[in-house]
Amino acid sequence: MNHYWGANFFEFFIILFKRITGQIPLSGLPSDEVQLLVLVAISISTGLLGTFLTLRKMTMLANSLSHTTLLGIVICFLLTRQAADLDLSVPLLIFASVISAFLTVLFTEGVRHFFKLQEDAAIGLVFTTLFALGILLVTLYTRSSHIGVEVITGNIDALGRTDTLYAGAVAVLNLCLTLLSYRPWALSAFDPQLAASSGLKITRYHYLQMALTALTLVVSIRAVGVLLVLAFLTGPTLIARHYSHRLSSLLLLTIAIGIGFSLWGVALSRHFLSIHHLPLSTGGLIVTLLSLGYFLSAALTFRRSRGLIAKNL
Amino acid sequence: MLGTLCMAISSSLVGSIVLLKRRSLIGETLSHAAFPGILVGIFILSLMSSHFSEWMFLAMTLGGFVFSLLGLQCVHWMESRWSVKSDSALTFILASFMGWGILLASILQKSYPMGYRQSLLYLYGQAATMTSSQALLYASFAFILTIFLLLFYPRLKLIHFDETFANSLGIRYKPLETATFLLIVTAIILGIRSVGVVLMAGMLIGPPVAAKPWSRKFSTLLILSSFFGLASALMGNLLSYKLSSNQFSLPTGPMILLSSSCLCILSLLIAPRTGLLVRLIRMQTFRFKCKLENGVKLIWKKPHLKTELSPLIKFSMRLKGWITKEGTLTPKGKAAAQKIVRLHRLWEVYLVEYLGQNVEKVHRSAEELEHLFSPALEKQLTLILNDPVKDPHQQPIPPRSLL
Repeated sequence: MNHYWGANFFEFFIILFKRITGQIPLSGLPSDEVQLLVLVAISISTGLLGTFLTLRKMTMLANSLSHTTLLGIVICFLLTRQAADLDLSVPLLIFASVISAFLTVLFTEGVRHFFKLQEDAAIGLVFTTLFALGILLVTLYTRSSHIGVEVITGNIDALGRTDTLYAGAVAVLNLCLTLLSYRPWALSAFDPQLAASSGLKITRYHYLQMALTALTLVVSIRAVGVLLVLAFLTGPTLIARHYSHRLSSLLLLTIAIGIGFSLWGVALSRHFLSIHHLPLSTGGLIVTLLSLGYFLSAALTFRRSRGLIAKNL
Repeated sequence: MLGTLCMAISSSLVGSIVLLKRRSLIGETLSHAAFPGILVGIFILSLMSSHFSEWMFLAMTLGGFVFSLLGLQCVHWMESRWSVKSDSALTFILASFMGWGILLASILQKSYPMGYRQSLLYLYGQAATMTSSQALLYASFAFILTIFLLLFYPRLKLIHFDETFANSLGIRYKPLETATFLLIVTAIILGIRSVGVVLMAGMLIGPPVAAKPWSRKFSTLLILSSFFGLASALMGNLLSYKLSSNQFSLPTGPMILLSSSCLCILSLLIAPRTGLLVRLIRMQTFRFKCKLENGVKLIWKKPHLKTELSPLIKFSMRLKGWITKEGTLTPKGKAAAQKIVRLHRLWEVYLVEYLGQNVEKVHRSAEELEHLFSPALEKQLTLILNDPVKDPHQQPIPPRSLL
């Protein structure tokens, strides 16, 4: 039973508030709340990772990882052959993501090192090749392009209770690891030379970050698709840096902005469905709101921020 | 087929420009940015008229073009006005335009399913369903692009390699840069129909990267890269045609991209000067030469010692005519050995006298320097050092006349 059925934008929040305070009994989990929980978890993960990735100017590597996940999924499918057509079950995806992330980072570094290629070309070359391979295998073995479209757009309505658990687990993992390695990450984001000279194992943290990114991408695929998660990685950070000069507050603000836009998006999507009978893609809606939010906030405040964070972004 | 060939040429041409500007990933962003434009094109068309199928293609192309330009402008603003670093700007614009696209797609899916299906063609590309009139349009675009490049070649070269110099000559930077970006956007729009939004970036990167190690001039880079692009398009088409059968069909777009990547890797392996294989071979040859020279030196110094040289080294010494069957030096081998020893000791003298190095330490450096031999170098050293007869360790230097 979905309490949100037929609710408009404001009613959505009222119902949500009542649910949280216990005025409507907490039995069952309607789809809107599942979406919301997953999106909140994703916002936490991407907020933490995205801030460091943008600071280290590595978002394009994240982009490349998000594309190559497709190849990982296909390879896993070929190895296991467990279903007639590809299904995006979570354990399979996690395995796939680890494989593809490993391959991508390895190849990109390899091409840069052995062929002495400039970084942008190396990234582009590797991920497009792997992605082409992925598409080829998909069409060869499944003869449906359906899976490819779903990987890109995400399918937020197909989310279930287990997705909440996985997304939550990844968010907690991200939170713990960020708290544990906050200092080294911060140091290597702002001053890699100093970090290296003070004996930090930068590459180890680099690979840790990449692995976390891959995991986060994977739990986001079902919800928002491989490309929109990139907006989650960069958008909130870019907005937050207009209002914050300290890394710790930047991180918190980024997460808050991500959660806020997710709430807004889910509510608006429900609003459109109940009032205008228009099923909009929630992920697309959130990202559209995010980009509008960014341009608005940039236009209003771009002169104010002149701190170290502003210089590093 | 014709369409993909033209696409390959135009994208490799503009790809070489962005490669040199180190902005290869801009193609990735712009091709994604075109996606909502395609949907907007369909959307507007569906509002305007009911018999749209002839105009659909045009509307999609136009919409894609406009949005791609918009994306470019957004990236530019973010970088210049709001001081966002280029990679975050590119990623953010890519993702947010894709977000708009997916939002529009979800609207379109309900209201106008046929247009939705058409737009999905652009996501992964489908060269096979291209009609001949579309192919002709592409061909003419590619032709215009090439003509433009030829016309403005000297100026383009100038502004992309030396902006300040170009400015001082009074060449206006802005219009030309705008024109270049228009070209890039055009090439991308041409490409996404056949290889799809996601793989388009690869078409901009592969051929120029393959061409770069073979060329030192901008013009050769352009020609070679369009050649590589053409070759990969041909190869991709051929492969997808030949390998497809009743059970399955290989999509053309990914095949083109994969062949371009294969060409690229091949080229990076075997290219002269910078290729990986070439560098490895050069390194190995040098190492072998060092071993050979050390071997002959050893035999020369201690002819009675039974030295343990590997059969391969002995064999190549025989081939060079340095040693006889029994392992003793021929006159030719003797000369070779003396040449090396002379160079070694000359280097020692040089290191001690001119670079002020410690006498005990120079042997090691000279051991490496002796293999870098050229007649001119030896001559120069002899001249500088006044043809010495003894090295710092008081050992005789074999005179020149013996060589």
